[in-house]
Amino acid sequence: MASTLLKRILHPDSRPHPWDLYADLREEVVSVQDDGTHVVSGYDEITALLRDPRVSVDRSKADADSRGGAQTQPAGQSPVFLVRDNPGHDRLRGQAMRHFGPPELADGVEALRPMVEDLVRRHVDRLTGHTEFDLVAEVAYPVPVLVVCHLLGIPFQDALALGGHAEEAVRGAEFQVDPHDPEVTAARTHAQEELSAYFAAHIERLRANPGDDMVSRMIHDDGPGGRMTMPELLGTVNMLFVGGHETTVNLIANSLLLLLRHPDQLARLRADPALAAGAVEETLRLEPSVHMRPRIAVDDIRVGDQVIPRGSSIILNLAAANRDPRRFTDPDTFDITRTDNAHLSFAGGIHYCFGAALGRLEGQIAVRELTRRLVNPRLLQDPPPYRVPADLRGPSALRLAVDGVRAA
Amino acid sequence: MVRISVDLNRCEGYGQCVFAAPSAFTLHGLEALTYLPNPPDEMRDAVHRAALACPVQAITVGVQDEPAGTTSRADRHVVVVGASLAGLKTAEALRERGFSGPLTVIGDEPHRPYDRPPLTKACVSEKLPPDRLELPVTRTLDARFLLGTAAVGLDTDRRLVRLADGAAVGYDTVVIATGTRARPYPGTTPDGVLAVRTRDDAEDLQRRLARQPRRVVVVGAGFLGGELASGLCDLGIPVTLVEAQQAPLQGPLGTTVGGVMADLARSAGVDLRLSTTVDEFVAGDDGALRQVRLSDGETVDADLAVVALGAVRNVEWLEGSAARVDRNGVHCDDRCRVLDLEGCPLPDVYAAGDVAGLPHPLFPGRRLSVEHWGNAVTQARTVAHDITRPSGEVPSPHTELPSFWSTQFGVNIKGVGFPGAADRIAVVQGTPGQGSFSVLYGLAERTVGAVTVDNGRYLHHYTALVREGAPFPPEFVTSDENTSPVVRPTGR
Repeated sequence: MASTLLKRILHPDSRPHPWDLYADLREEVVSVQDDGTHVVSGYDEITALLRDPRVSVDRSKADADSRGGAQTQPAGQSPVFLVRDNPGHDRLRGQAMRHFGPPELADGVEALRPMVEDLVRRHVDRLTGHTEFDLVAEVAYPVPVLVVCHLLGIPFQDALALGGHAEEAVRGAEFQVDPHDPEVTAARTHAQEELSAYFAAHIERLRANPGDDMVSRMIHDDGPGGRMTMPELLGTVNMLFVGGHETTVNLIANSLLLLLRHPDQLARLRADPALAAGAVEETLRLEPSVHMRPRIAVDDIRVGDQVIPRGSSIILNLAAANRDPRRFTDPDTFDITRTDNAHLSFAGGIHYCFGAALGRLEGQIAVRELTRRLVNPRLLQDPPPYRVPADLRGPSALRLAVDGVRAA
Repeated sequence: MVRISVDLNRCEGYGQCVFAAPSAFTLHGLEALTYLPNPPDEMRDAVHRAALACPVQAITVGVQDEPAGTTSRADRHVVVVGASLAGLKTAEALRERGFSGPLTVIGDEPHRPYDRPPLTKACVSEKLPPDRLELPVTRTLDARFLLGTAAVGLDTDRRLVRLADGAAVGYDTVVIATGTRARPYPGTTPDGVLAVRTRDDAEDLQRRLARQPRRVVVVGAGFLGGELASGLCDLGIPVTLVEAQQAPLQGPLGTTVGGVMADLARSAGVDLRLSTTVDEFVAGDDGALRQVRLSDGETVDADLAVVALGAVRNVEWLEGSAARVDRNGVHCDDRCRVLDLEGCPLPDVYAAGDVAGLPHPLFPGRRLSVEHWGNAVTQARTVAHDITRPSGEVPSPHTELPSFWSTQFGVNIKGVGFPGAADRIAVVQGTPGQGSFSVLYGLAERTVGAVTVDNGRYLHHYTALVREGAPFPPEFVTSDENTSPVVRPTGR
């Protein structure tokens, strides 16, 4: 019998506690939804599908009536590597990675450390004198937006307006109760047009006057993949901007939420700040920034005793897999010293998150600075209010009370 | 000093360790990883972050192996003969499983266990010092290491291991993990003809390379020969690579992958001589190598040659013992228990690693000796499990598939199963010669092996096909748009 679990998960009321619904989903190897979507929630099964050559990220390969078949490309942008199969994926991803990370730029992210530390310090400085504030508005949101602006050569004064459009664009993404809702679609299209127009002008500016940023280097690179076309550049910049901060906002907010819910873990972190890396990994596992990722089956795929038919839309429920008791001991326990924490929060296979290392760096620095400097922080509202998307799940606000803010 | 190791079978080349600790880890091309096995202390935090960030948790960061003095005399004495990967991993797995008895590890080399794969890779291409390869331990072993002492005999009646210095070590349980040595060149060789199997060999090679040889001849284009030739190219040293077969890696992987590697080697500047053998190493008046005369009639001026003709199992010390051995290794059952001449398990005698020959469920009736890093680790676990298994707990046979990797000429080759046993090959992703690709190997309508070239993030899937013996040739659709599916003879 077709399940309505996904519909219930997508409903905003489920945002604070989707975990019981995820556990129900894990009862079945493949849970077929009433709209035909095949939801997979087990760790081993998702691990295999992420590395299965019969699985595609290209929506045009889905049956037209499936949930995944509705994707439209923003005008003027060619499909980005996130939604492309090979060989296009490797070429486009490589053209961007050359200016971000290994093999060409091994210290590409570590080189950003001083800048990120400075941004975090200054945003925590601004909390001085306040006893109550919204951590999302004051730190978790602005820091990642400014970091990605720095990376892409976008002037800081444009950051907040662009961030607003990005928020609207992801709000209308595929994980809606009804992805075809005309109101949501219209708002999304408008936001996407604003972003496209801004980035098109931005690219032309940097084409004429290149700076020391990733976009300038992508524009002017004659690397092995050749020069990127304007539609490729536009798509890539758009994706890097949106993907480069929306997820990290959730990571910082979720880290603090979990640490404040678990004072014993917070105390351990304060005693040994090197545990910040473990705290971030455990946050990623337990409260991932991205809960679900879509895929398409291009062939019949047997999973356990079930078959996902060719052309089907698949949802990989990464967040459910991260709490799979067959894989993790005490899966619902927040333990910042956990070892063997091979969570799936950045997916896996060739589409493993492009910016994972930057997200980790920002998360680790923010967690260290905040836990060191906030005096007696308490949650004022638990659970906090959540952002709309079910896939890009994170608090829209995290109201904290503190007794003070230590000097940097 | 920190000691780390990366399970490069498990590694999928995500590069997250490189992002976190760029001084300790290096990515080459799309997915080939090298690293400093013993990075300095100041990198400890970064290495720790790198290990946490690994998406497949392939990085082991070691602890100090300090004598704890907590072993219980009441427990049995386990003697591990062989102080390389399989021996160390056996000792570690025993402690992990709670074994508290005395533990002795005997090694013929004077060094603590070190990692061998870098000897032909980073020790050449990146001049990594061979004395910086010590393997990490994940817990205190509290073992007695008898190093620089070869075992020369096994007396299973009196339960003694006899050593070259005349001493004997008594045991309750013995584990044979004496591995292999480089197969010597059949014939006389002058000074300047080497093989690379040990840390001392690699140091010798580095010293000779530092003298800027005019040209190096590498004999044998198997995994090690290709890696050596590739590393020498990285150093800008002219290389002639001599291979008796029609393609590099032809024996283990066939001519499809071999042909791609031949093209890559030539593009890198290697003087590749296929279907060619060495007729003579010619010495100068000083007795040192001057020229190599080849079977194709040509003579190459070279002052250094490295022979990479495979390995010979170290079983001679077991001659005359109750254990059944031949040139394919020590006969074992599927629990790594060593068999006697009648084929019955000898009580409390085990073998693990390159020296062990085991049956495998995919090839009933055959005994397979596998010389890969991975099976040294998995067999060590099988041995430790069987030694520590409480009576009543079911035995756990070794059914792991062989898996391997090699990095050469900027690409990463990963494989699983038994490609060397196959008679047909099918290209299932990409096109050989045009970047990343995957191939499956078939024998009698069954998939028996898989190899990916810069496509290791799909190997997990192909491993499952090999494990279940999926029908061959395969009939599935992939999302790749650049695949030219083709089935052809493996070629060998």
